[in-house]
Amino acid sequence: MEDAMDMEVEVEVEAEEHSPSSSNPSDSSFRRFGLKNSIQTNFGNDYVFEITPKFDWSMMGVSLSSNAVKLYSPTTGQYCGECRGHSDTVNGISFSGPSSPHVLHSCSSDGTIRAWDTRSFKEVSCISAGPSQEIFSFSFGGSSDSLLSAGCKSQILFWDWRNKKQVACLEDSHVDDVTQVHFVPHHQNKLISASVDGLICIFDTAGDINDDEHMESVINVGTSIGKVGIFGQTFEKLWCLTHIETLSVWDWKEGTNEANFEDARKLASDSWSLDHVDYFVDCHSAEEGEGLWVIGGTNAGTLGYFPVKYKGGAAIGSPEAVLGGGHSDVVRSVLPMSGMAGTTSKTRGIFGWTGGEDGRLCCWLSDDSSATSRSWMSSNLVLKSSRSHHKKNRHQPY
Amino acid sequence: MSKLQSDALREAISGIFSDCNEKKRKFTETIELQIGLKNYDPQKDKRFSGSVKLPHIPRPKMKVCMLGDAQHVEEAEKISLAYMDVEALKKLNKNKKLVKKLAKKYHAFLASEAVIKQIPRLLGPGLNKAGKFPTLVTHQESLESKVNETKAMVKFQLKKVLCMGVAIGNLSMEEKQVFQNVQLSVNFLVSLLKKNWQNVKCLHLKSTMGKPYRVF
Repeated sequence: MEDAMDMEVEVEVEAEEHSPSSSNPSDSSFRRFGLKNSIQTNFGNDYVFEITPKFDWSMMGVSLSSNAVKLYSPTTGQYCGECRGHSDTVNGISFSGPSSPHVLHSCSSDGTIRAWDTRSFKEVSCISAGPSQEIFSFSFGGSSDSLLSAGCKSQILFWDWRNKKQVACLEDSHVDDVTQVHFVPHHQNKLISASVDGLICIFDTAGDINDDEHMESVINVGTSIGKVGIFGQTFEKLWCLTHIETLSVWDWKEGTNEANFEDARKLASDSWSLDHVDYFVDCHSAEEGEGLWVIGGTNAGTLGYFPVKYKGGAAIGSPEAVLGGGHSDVVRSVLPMSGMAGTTSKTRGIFGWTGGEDGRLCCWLSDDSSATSRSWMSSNLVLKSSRSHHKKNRHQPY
Repeated sequence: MSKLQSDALREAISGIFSDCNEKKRKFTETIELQIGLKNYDPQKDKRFSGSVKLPHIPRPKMKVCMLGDAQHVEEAEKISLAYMDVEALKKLNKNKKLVKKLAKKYHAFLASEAVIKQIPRLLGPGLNKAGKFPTLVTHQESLESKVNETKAMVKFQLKKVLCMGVAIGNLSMEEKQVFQNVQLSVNFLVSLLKKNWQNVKCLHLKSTMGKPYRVF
């Protein structure tokens, strides 16, 4: 309890010190999200890579650098179990839709995409791209929703997941690791790929897929691409985060650039009074409309939600939310619970979860009142991570 | 030493230049920056990969070709830049061998907005496969500066081991230019590492045929 109070005070003071006189008026309008819960996922040096929700939010999958995927409850933080089997880095995880609600998929540098039953934590299916391949990303979709596509080393592979047969291999479009593949929502046959070679390719996946005829357009971002995401009312926009921490926004249909933030870290840093933004974790888009936020972080573990203005003059605005005092190292994943359908009383007020290289999962409370900043949830309890022996987390109810 | 010492760098560069003068080679040697990392795990930590624009062009002999619309073709002619228009691209008839030949002829390509959209249809994935898909150039920017920008870009990529090299200059440049290239690129690369200088084990500069000089 004392520690929690200390932490709160600490951050409060920090804000006071850094509060600028009048240079940045919007600075005082950001919300500081309070830490509700903090879970140590392992007692070694493993990182949390990614957090993904089950479609009904009754569970969340967490991939760790130990090649395992752990499962927790997003509402209580309770540990549920672990899926072990991958022999190399787990690069992507996602739950299936309502049709197979208990299934979690994962792809790995061991060259496989595996399916796990999250009730028994056992592997139920495995598709392999071969022992010398690595799979960095995967996506389900296609015209009859029967395709599974995978981003591999230079190649994009396609299987019919119903019979696990490989139906196509695109190997001419990229010359380096394909870090992202996404079937586009509402544009069934379209697949977008992004690679370390700096290219974003848009493919038509109807019929017999081949490089010569199915590559529709190419966007040259110019540098190694880490993450891309499709957003916008009609899903025709694309945000792109590179490994050199630059951000760009594109209209993939037109193949045009809408905004380019080469010095994105500096723009974000200039818009708040805290430490230098060292990297970006992800981009989040509004459920409705064209809003876009980029989540920037410091090496010490503080996060900011920065609005991205890309129409009529590119700009990165002051953060609308700051998540501090939770992590002590680089943050790798942010999962907002705003996407939840039907918020119950349990989940109301929860902003979401974050995970990072400190091996921690942090749950954040959002200030429901749309009023001013810095109103602390004084009922916060920070679960102290104990390095000694205990298997399950001690859950402290609030 | 927690930062790159200017003196050490200047001395190393002088050393490299004087070594080369002692034994002249029949080609212009490239100078490479060799980076050794520590406290970094390629499997866990974020990827260290990308392209950076250097203040001074390290490879002036880089051949660039403009795939242009009428306006860009005209500009290209004026600055003696190799070019091809849409008609010329159509003549390749999406023939894989011809596209491959074109790709081999140049180090990099630029393309106008109107043309870049047609490339998959006109040429297929040939330029992709060669790792030379064109960079877009608009009419709002000077073609010449875009060419220089392209020539000034260098790629860096850390694979499974903790060392990598980046082309940082050549022996026909001025020592001061090499100095600036090294300073800028090192500071940029270090900013991408979470422990900054604590992630850097050593830095060396080396000309193609010369001996390595430690600068950090």
